[in-house]
Amino acid sequence: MIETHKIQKSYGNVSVLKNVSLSIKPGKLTMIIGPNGAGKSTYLNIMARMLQADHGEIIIDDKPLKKYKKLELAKKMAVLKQSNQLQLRLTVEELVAFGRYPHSQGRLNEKDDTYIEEALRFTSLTSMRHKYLHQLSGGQQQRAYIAMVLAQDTDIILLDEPLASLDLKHSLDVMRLLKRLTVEQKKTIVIVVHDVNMAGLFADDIIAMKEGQCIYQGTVDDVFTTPVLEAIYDIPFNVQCIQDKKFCIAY
Amino acid sequence: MSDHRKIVILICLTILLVMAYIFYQMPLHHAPYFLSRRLPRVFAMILASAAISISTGLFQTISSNRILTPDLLGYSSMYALMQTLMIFLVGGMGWIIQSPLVSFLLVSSVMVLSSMVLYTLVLRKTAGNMYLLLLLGMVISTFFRSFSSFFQLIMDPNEFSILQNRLLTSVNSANTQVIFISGVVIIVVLPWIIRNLHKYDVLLLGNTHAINLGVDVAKLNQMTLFMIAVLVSVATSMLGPIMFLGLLSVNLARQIMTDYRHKSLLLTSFVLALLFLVFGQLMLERIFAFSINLAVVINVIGGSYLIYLIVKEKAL
Repeated sequence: MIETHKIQKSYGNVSVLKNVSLSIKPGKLTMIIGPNGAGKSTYLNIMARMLQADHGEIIIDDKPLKKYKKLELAKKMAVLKQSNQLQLRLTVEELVAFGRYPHSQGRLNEKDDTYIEEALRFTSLTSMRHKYLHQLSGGQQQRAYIAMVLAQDTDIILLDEPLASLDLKHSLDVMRLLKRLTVEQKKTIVIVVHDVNMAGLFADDIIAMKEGQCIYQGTVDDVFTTPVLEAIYDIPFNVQCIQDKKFCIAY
Repeated sequence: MSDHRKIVILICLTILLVMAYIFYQMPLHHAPYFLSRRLPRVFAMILASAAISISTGLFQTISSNRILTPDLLGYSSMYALMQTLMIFLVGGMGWIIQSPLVSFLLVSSVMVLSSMVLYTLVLRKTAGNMYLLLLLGMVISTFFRSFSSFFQLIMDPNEFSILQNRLLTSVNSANTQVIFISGVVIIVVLPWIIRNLHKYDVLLLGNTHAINLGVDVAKLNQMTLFMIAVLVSVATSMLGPIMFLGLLSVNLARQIMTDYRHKSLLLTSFVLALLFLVFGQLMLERIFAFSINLAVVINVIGGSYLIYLIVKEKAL
C-alpha cells in the first residue's frame, strides 16, 4: 500500500507536481496516463526514491519512505526505468541474479537460485539464460530486466514506460506478464504508459495526470468516457465498446 | 582459456619477473647489500601497483567511464605544485626537502585533505554530480600547472634541477620509511574496499539500478573518492606521477578477463600493473642503463595502447 501526501516538485521555476495526494491500491495494476509533461514520470520517480520531492510525504505500508533502510526498501519495492543502456557484457542469468542483491549481497544461496529460476521461467527466458544481453532484441531485453525485478521479490513494482520502444506484440507480452503478476502473485504494480488503450485493456485502476496534478482516479469504466478523456488530453475522443472492452479513438 | 587459468599465468609471470629483478647478476657474497637496494624497490612497486590499479578501477566504476583516471581530479598537478612551492620557498637544501619522510607526509596529507574538502563541497553543491567534479578537476589541474610553471620560471636553476628530479616517476628514490608508511596506509584502506566490492559490482548496472537494489550510491561515491584520494596520494608521493599505469592495467584487465566482477578485475589489473612496472624498471636498469626514466617506458607502451583503445571504441 503506497500513499502520497501533497507531493510537490519543481525544476527551477517550473512547477512539475502540485500537491499530488493519492493512494495506490494494493495487489492491483495501476496505470498512470496523461499528456507529455504532466508529471507522470516525475511522480513515479519520487515514489521510487530516484528523485527527492520538494514537499510532501510518501508512506509505504504505514511507514514513511525516509524511515526505511536502503536494503529494507529494496526488498519491498522495485523500480525499472525506461532506458536501460548497459556497457557491461552480462548474460541474462547474471542480470537476473543482480535482483537478489538486496537479499544476499552478492553471495547467492539456494533460495536465491530458486527465485532466479522462477523469474526466468515466468518471463520465458529460461532457454536464453546464457545469452548475452546485447545479443537480445529490445523486447527480450525488457523482459530480462523485468525478470531481474521479479527476482528481487518485492510486493511493489514501479515501472516507468516499460512499453517505450517496444512493438505491439512485445508490448502485449509485457503487459500480459505484468497482469499475471498482479493476479497470481498479488503484486502491487504501478506503470506509466502513453498508450491509453493499453490502460483500457489491462488496468485495474487508472490515474490521470495533467499539468502536475491528478485530475482523475478510477476504474476503466470511470475514465473511459468521452468527457473525461477529452478533459485529460484536450482533443476530441470517441469511446467504443468492442467485445466488452472499451477502446478510445482519437483520430 | 578460462579466467582462472589466465590469472594464474599472469601471477606466475609476474613472480618470475620480480625474481629476475631481485636476483639478476647478484653475487652471492654481496647478497645482503644487493637485497637491501632491491627489495625496497620491489615493495614500492607492489604497493604502488595496488594503489594505482585499485584507485583507477574504482574511479572508472563510480564515474561509469572506462577511459578516465583519478588523475583528472588534478593529483599529479597538485603534486608538482607542492614540490615546486616547497623547493621554491624552503630552498633545495632545507630539511623538509632533504628528509624524504617529512616531505612524503607533508605532500600526501595536504593532497588527501585538500581533495576531501573539494569533493565534499562540490558534491554537496551539485547533488552528487560526478561530471561537474571532473570538469572542476580539469580546471584546477590547469590552474595548478600554470602556477607551478610560473614558479619554475623564476626559480634558481640549481633548485630547478633538484625539482626536476623530484617530478620524475622513479622507483629509485623510494625511501624505506616511506614505503613502510605507505604499506600501513594501504593495509588500513584495503579491508574497507574488499568489504564493499559487491556494491561496486551493482554500481556497474548504473545509478538507478544500484539505488533500486538498495545501494546508497551517494554515500558510496563519497567514501570511494576518499579512498581514491588516499591511494593516489600515497602512490604519487612515493613514486611521482604515474597514474597512466592505472588506465593501462585496468583496461587491459577488462579485455583479458570475461568476469565483470571487481574482485577479479582489480586483482588482474593489480598483477598487470606490477608486471608493467617491474618490466619497465628492468628495461630501464638493464637495457637503457638509466638513460631514460620509468615514465617514458610506461607511457610509450601505455600511450600506444590507449590510442588503440580509443580507435577501437570508435569502431564500435
